[in-house]
Amino acid sequence: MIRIPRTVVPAAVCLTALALLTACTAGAATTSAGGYGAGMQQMPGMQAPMTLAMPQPITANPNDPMKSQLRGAKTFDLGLMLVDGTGYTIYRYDRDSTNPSRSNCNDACAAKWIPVKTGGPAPIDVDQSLIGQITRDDGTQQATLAGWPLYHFVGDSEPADTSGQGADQAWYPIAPDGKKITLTQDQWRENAFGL
Amino acid sequence: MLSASEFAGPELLPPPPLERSRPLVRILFVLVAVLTLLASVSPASIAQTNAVSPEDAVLLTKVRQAGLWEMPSGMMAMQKGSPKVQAVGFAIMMDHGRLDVATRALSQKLNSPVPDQPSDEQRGWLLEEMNAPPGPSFDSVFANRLRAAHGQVFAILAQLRAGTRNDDVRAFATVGNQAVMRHMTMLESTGMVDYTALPAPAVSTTAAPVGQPLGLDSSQIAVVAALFLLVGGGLFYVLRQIKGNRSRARATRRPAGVRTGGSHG
Repeated sequence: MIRIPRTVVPAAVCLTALALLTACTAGAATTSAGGYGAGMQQMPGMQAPMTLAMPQPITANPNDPMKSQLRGAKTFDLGLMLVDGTGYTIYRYDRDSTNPSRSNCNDACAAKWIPVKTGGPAPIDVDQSLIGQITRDDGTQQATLAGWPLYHFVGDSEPADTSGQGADQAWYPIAPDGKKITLTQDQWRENAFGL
Repeated sequence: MLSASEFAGPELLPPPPLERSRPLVRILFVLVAVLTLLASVSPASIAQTNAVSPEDAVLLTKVRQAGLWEMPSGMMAMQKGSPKVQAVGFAIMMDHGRLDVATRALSQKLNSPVPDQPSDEQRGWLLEEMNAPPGPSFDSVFANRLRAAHGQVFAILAQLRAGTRNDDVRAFATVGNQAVMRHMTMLESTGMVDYTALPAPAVSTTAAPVGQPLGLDSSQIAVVAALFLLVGGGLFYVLRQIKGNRSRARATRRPAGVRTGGSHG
């Protein structure tokens, strides 16, 4: 009969093509693995003690007056952001009130969200008229910006770290004008520096 | 069976269901086979944009370690530098904080671990900065060490930005490249950078070809040829089946009882 060769021919073509394809993709995968690996350059002779460790938890030096300094910083991905004198991010809490200024974060909450103390060095790049202070329920003083009580996040471990952003859908880094920063780092800007 | 066409009569009867569907099944089978093959080829080419090459991993490591020594450097500059250097130190520290956030996120996403300590060489530079007396001496060490280090990373970032296969790494290298450019410019704005102390650029001055021509390599040609065979063969087969189907349909234009006592009619 004529029908038998009819099915055999295309089947053979298909099988040959399949064999070729698998052989080729396998070959391509192995060839792409090579490259121009730039090795890590190490100088083992120069062992130095690290006195200025980074990352460093926010709790490492709680009485550092620089932690109470307010400073405006221009980040390339989040825009203007309020930080302390050591560059650590300062947050605001949506459940606080601004008029009058009042903190609704006490006890366990305040252990996680550390109130920013008052009495630091003069602010830099922040409108002095926006800065104020409140007396907390435990009698301590807390700095405010545009009425918002200010906090550090215990999970931040380096300057400009924003690990607390979006926590409880109420905690956000604060901008020098008092607005909250909801933009996140994964929203890349193609030309972040405007170069 | 084909000889049955001799019995073609004036009556127009549909072929028996079984007879009718058999070529269709075959055509479907070929189509499915072709589509399966095509599908099995395409994921391999997509996967290349998600895979992390050793060079991608080097970039993450370099940016991470740059931050690990330049953030403390910036902090030191804010304490020991002249006013200009203090401002530069703060800006570099903040940029590296943000870059490090991105680096850690990408490292996790691509499952490509990064170190959490600066290199021994970088520790040596930090020690140098620590030992430098505040003021112009510190300014000089700070500006020159950071400027030289940025020059090194700049070259790596440029190569990865130009050639990485990974979309995330490319976006990351775009921002990193701009950051390093900005930092070099800021460090130079202190007026402390000694350009003659920097390594001379390693650029070929001869008219070198700009990489390989963009032609297909042999394996790609083979893949295309195989696909051509496959699709062409499939098409050929489908056409023949359709043709066969028609002639068979013609063959069945005959009195119902002539060939079989089938269910039709």
